[in-house]
Amino acid sequence: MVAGTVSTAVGVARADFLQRTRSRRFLVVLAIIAYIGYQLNVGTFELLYQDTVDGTTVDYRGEPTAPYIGLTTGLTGGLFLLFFGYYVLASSLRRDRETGFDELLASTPVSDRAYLLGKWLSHVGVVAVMLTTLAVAALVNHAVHGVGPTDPVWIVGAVFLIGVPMGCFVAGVTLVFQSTDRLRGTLGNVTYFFGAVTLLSLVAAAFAGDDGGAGSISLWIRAVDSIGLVAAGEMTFDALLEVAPGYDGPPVANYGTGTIGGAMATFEWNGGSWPAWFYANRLGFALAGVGLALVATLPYDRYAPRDESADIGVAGRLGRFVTSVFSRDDTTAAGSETGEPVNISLTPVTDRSAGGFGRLFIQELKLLVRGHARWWYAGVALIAVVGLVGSAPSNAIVSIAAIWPLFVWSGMGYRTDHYRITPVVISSNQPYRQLLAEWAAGAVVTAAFLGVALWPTVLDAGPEGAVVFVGAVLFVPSVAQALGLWSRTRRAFELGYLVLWYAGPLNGIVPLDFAGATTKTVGTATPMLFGAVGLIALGAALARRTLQA
Amino acid sequence: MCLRLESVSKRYGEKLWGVRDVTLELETGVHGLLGPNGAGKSTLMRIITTVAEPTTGTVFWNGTDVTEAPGEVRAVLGYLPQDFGVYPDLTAAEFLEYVAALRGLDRETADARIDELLTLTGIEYARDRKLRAFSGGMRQSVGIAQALLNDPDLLVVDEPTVGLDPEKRVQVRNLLSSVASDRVVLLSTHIVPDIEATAKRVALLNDGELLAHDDPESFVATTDGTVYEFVAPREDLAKLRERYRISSTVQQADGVRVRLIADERPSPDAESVTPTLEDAYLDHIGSREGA
Repeated sequence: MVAGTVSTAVGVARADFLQRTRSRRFLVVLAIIAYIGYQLNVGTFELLYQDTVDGTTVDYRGEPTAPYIGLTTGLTGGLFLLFFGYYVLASSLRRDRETGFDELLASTPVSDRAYLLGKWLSHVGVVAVMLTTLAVAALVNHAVHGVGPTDPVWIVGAVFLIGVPMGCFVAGVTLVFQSTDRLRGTLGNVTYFFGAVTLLSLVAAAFAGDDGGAGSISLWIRAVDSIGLVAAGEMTFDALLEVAPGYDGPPVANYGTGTIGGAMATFEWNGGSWPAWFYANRLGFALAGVGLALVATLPYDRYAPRDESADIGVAGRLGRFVTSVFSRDDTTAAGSETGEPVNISLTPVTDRSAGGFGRLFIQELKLLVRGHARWWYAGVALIAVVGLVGSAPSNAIVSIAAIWPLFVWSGMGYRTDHYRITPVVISSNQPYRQLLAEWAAGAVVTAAFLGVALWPTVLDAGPEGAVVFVGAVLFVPSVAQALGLWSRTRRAFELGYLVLWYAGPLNGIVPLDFAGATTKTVGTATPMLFGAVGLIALGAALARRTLQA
Repeated sequence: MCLRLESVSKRYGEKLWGVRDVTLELETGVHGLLGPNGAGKSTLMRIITTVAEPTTGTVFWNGTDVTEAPGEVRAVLGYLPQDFGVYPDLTAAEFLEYVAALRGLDRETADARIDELLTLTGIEYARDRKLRAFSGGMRQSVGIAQALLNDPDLLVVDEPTVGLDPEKRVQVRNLLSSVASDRVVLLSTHIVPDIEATAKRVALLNDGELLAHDDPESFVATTDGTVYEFVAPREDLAKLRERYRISSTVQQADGVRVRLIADERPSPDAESVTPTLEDAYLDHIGSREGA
């Protein structure tokens, strides 16, 4: 029984793995990973201990020895998988649904457990390819740019010790999300992003203001050390103290590009033993991944109707009942479907260039705002009421108004391909007009959401406030459409936009605050820069259509 | 009206050819495009409809090079792609309004033709239903309606009867025949009787190459005297399949009635019968594969 399940799972995994690794998109992902491997060796990303000495922030980083590069590469791999792994892996179950393979599967004796375990194995295989690429890139680049002998065991070992369990875990989470109706689309992408941020923030939050040294780390912090930050701290802290005996910053290194305007000092770390607890931690993440793959069998429904409207709920069924009472009887009407051939003369067409932009715009607007869940429309109403009343803090209402339409924007550009309408659009005499109509509809939605949130800013700040509004209205729909058209997926925009929104409007980093959530943005060059990026993106969308047409 | 293809080729990658050196002239009427899977029919249609560019060669519409000026053919084109998709959150009427706007129709004409075409394709009762609730056949009917919306001079339909019930299939065939009198209709299908019933000329593609372009009678005439029917014992069927191209089999109480293509009488009981387009098609494709 178990042998049969494993054998079937391996068969599913093999086919899925081959399908995914033979795509050009995957090659692009590998190219990006190889580039990251280079950046690690030239010091773009660092493992940084931060302290304040005489009022100046000092970043302590390691010399690029093989163990140090191995450690930072492993952390980068873990971080990449935590934040981007889900978006790379999530296409597997969706592809089976879109190609109809799931229906074929439903008619076979393959169990849900074997199928999902196979998918999980395939996910882990894909992760292994990505980590191998990262490790090889780090090895080669260390040989060229690094300090001391290139030790493959340290570099490759660290990448796989940190990366594989994280990949197993992310693979499991991906399966749970992709097997759950409500988490399959944009809501799942958003939820995953915040989950990843929370998981990573747990470690940082635990050490906020802590200067008690590595020995004070609690068990639960070690348990949730998802990408190895705590382990890296334990291993390298003594090397740091050798060059900075008076260091009184957090005992866990930060990870990033360094403090702008801060001082930089280096320490040399030549490797050491991984803490024993970290092996248990990694085993825990790997096993959690397997567990999640099995948990995914609970929400996964192989017999789920392809037509989402079939799952309409009580209110939907009530609506259908009312409609059936007050509308024509379909059974009677269907008689005309099977009746005699209809003789009818068609109205002649005298003008095939009568425009129609307005009608295209209306239909594009319907496409953008229809088909969302009821809670989404309830949220829209709430944003409208709270925004128009004008009593909510500006940063809160703008931040929410800038994220809620993500569900609307992320369909732009991608929809024509997804629903196989592109040939009809391209072969029409309005291929560009459709693009502009879609953009205009997206801009109207953006203007509506940001309008209700930003009107106090515009009133208070006058023209400078209006520039913020116009910049955002130019930026968001244009980038959404361009990314949708070029990537042919909604995830590229969703992920990029979430990261930008998290840093800019939500956390108030002014250079990234495209929506004017903080009043500090008003009067800066930021809105104009984002407006200009929007115009460039609109140009990129038109360029894509030119290639298509 | 005339669509002319001159030495049109489409290459994918280094070695794979979608179509190769196709020269064809299509005037008003239905032109059937026949060929096995992967023969290049859809590629050829995508080139004609300007969705894909030829690697070499040119397509002319009424003398205008459509590779250079795609707008010339797009303005008068109706197109039903093989893999036709719809927006599931629009109703049938809304989707057709969308396509009408894409095709540049004014509102009044669009509204009138949408009503008429929904009636003509037998789905007027579902005009205000969202397309996600449509069956495959109903969606195909929407596809046919959208292709005819702008009263096209050039109508390109790829597998239009797929998913339709037999009665609907006949209706679509009749519809294509009736609109073809003053326009060029290019019909691609695997269903040979559809072409037999509608086409005034047949183009046969195989492995990306044009094997024949002729009227159905002449095409069928090439198979004259090579089609036989007889009742064979069931146990002989496997051997017959090895030796001949079997056109059809019908189970009977005394054995299997076999229709096959053979250069010589396959059995003393075999009767020579009048060939059909399907026989001619099998003969051409079979000869090619055997060559």
